[in-house]
Amino acid sequence: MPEPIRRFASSLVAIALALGAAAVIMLAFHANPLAAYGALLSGALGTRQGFAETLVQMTAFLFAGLGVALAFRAGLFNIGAEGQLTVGALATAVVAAGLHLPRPIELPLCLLAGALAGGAWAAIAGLLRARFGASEVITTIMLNYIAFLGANYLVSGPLQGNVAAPETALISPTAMLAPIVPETRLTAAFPLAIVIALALAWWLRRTVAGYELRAVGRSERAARYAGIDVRRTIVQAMAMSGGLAGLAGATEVLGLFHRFNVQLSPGYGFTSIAVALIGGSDPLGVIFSSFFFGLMQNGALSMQALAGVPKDLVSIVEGLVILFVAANWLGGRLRLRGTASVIAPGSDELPAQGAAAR
Amino acid sequence: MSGLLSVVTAVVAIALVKATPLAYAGLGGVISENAGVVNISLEGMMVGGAFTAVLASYYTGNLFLAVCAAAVAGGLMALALAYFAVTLKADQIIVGMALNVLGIGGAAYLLSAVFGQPGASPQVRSFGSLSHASSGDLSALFTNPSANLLFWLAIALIAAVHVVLYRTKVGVHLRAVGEEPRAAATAGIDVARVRYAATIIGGMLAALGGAYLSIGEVNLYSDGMVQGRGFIALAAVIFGKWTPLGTAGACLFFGFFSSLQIVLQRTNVPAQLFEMLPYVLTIIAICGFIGRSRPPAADGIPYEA
Amino acid sequence: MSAAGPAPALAGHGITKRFGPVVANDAVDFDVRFGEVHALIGENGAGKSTLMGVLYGLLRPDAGSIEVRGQTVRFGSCADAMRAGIGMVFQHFLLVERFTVAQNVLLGREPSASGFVRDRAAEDEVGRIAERYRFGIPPGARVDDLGIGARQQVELLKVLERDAKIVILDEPTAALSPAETLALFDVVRRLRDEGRAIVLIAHKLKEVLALADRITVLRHGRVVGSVDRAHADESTLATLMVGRDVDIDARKPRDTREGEIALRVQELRVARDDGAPAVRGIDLEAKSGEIVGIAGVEGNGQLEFAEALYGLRPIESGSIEWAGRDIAKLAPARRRELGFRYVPADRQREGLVLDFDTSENALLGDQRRLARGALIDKRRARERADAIASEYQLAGYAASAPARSYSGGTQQKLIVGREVTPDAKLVLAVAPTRGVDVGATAAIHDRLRAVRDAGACIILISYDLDEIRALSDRIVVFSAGRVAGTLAPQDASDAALGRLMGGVGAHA
Repeated sequence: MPEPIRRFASSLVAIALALGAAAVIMLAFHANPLAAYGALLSGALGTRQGFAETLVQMTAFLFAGLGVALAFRAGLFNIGAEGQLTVGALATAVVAAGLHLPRPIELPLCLLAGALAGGAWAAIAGLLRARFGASEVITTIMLNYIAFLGANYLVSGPLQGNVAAPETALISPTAMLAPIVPETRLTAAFPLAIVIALALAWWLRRTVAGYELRAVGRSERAARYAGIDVRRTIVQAMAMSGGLAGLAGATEVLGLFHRFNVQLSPGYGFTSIAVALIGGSDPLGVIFSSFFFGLMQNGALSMQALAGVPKDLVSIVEGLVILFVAANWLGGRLRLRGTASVIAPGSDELPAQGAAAR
Repeated sequence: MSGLLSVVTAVVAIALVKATPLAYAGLGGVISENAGVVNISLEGMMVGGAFTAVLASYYTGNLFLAVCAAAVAGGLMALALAYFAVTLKADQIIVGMALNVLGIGGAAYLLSAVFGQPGASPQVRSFGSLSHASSGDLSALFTNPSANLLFWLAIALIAAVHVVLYRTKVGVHLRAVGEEPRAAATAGIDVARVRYAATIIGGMLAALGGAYLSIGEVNLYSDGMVQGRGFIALAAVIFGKWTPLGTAGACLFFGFFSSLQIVLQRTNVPAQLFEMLPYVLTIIAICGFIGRSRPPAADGIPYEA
Repeated sequence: MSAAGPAPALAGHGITKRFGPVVANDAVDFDVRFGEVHALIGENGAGKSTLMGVLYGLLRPDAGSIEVRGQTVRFGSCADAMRAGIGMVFQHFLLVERFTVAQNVLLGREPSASGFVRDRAAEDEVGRIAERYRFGIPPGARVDDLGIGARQQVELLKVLERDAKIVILDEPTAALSPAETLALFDVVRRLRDEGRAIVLIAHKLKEVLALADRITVLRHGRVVGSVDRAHADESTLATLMVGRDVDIDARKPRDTREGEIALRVQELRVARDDGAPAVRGIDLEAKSGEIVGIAGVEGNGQLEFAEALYGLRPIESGSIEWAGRDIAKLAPARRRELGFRYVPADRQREGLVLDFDTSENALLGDQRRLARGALIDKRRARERADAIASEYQLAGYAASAPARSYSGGTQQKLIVGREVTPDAKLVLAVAPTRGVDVGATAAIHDRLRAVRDAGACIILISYDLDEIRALSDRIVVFSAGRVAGTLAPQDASDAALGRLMGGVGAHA
């Protein structure tokens, strides 16, 4: 079957299996899976308020998920979305509290600050990979912790804007994103995320830079022969990836919290790895997977309140989904790394993967 | 003068206490990576071990069983890692991430589902007096060895892993599998079996590190108590160049930073800066600035028989 | 089973092995006797490694049988073959770099006491065998401290330690220096005199003639000749070895003239990936409007030479000048801007992004040049793909089909159509018609000539002598990283080329 269909089916199967396995766990604890899932869905979709909040959660997942997906497309593992999100949120909060310009200037500037901060943070990992070959898996994980600790320090110290709590000052009113649906938390961040997702899909398919990024992700060797500057592409990809994660943080600050503190993200950056994977690393797919995760995240609270099932069940579902997607039981090409083989390499009599042979 | 001595011994004591859970997880990482399996989920396994130890202690009151239960939990998680990574040849990083989420989420879920209270478990029977050492009393480690069993076990394990890895047939075969699985296969070594075994043992050790945190240092499980130590352990493995002694040394080194941060709390140096050091140093190491930090050659690459 | 004389040590009868549509071995008969060195020669792709894979238990044949000492056997894995007394030294070593010589040789069977390895006993044992064959390697040395010749000795020790009576050597001299080669020859002779059966896979004719008692030539998976040493000479062997892939059209007269010298390479030295020298000081000049054919057995430095010319491989020393300008430091993208085009050796991993569709692959390398501002010009990409498809008759063509879906020959045509464009100034083409049918080969050749007539300089690397003769204005022969000789096409008979390629010519 064609690749996108296979990936979509793979994701669906993974989700179904995960929900099934979670149901079994619930049964083991004398909970009713149907009631639980029912409560989850009704909480997440049943009311206008609930649905709006689902979209609010979806927004953060979408931004960060797009970032991780973009990195995957370039053949890179960005595990650092959480740290980039943190850095972006902090930068936005500081800029938005410090500047008091008219809204048409203030808002884009604050968003830009968040994107640039997140992008720069990720670019560090990109540079280290391009220049020293240092695995971006390790460096982004490390940078995550450096970001958390640094932010922690800054908001308890030099950047503390609220004497009562370790957080930055309240942002300027012209920087605040107002709800677009009354009595909900849904702001313009959501449509912005959708627009950016569509723009990213377009960028990947239609621009030269997008083409080169995809080529590097699919075949670094062929990209070299095509004259593509692989090193620069890697750094660029990481920077864009971090910028998107930074935007996730920025919109959280501007739309929801209006300041920065370390409780800002319930792990959006980490979950976004799953979002990207299940979305097949494609911006359009990520729209759907981020909706699924937003639904889970929001519905979990209702599931706990109405059916008495601890909301952490949702984390279990999430972990299982990642596992089942990675298992790749429907075949196809998920692998990002190469594989070894017993027959000596370079023996050109044994064809490479796939049916095409000399 | 005696004031300075007591400060130094306090720093050493706390460093040892802080380093021990890292060392368990680090040893686990060393074993599996030397066989060629990357284990990003040390964190999740530590969480699993920490929770399971408390659970077992709660129901049986027996510390030995609690420790065993923790090891079993880690082993099961590692079995999953081995199955997906070795048999299904899935990407080891992704599987590791999944196990982290499962470990942390699973523990949180069970915390609510079993104990009915989110956030922290009730207090259980524990080794307890490590709290003496962790408040700076170095002699406590020696005067009460059975209460500090998990500490001395770690020391013994570090030595044992070193000896096994470098001086025994089993260790040589394991390292061959991690460096050049094709050579190992043609020499008659069962690559898959070695990788399964190494991964599972690694998971068991990581879980013991978690058990240390919950029933060794304190006497309960609370949400977030592992707090990234699994990743520091990963950093220690890299920093220690994938050797048991090097990793243990790196853990001790990182432990010192934790310790200094606690002891020097009164000074103006921000705690977070100390805590950042392990991560910064690891980045520097992985860029090749601290000699060649090269993992086993086949680390992370699924072996196609 | 032969009625006369003892059964051969190892024999394969009617061995056939297919990989998908490719028949790597086609009803091959091969045997080796005790006390004999039997060389198996042929071009890359001829099926030598596959045959050895079958005889060593790594591959299961689709047809045919294997006999060891006259008894039919079936190998489930190379462990079975090893138990039958067969040892193989691969071209790409299977050594654990961080381990010592002794650890590598005795891997899996280390002498031990209650689980602890006895390193000293191991080193003593390995040391004894090493001394018997006069290998100078200390058993306690780490493999990654050893040079290639020494590493090969470690591989030999692995085989000798198990006392393999049947030894298969896969291209053993490929990376050795002349002195190391001579040392190896002594060892091989010694092993033969000890009564072992030796299979030597090689393509350097001089060496084969120095060592072998019998020589069998493989081409396109079939045995095309098998001779005793007494009846063999370089020319015959060379002629048997290099073949006709395809019916190549005859030389066509040209009515354009070549121009000025465009490319000047001096004293070029280039290393392989593992650091060994590949190009050992080559001087070459090429004019615009000229096709220079580089002939040679695969692996004699042609690839590294081409990669250095294109900017993918750094040069150790020497210079590359294009239109009077030193380009040694330019990246491939910059050289492409100057008009450089490259038809790479590995079509699937270097020439195409298999997961991209055909029109995107038609753009590869020119995505910036043919762009509309920052955007990919999809229309032009599609037009290009269509044009290539019709000119070269791409089977199963669809602009949106992924390149992966095409056969190897079609993929090759796509790449050639993309790279060999009228505005090219320098074309580096490596085996451009490998695996391509008659009609398209003619079309590719016509295109190369047309581009040459338009003033391009073409460096053609090919392993097909007919193609070299049909296209080249001048033929340069590479052997062991040096220019072995230069011939005009009319003087380039198979025998003459074979002599130079086999390293038997003036510069051998």
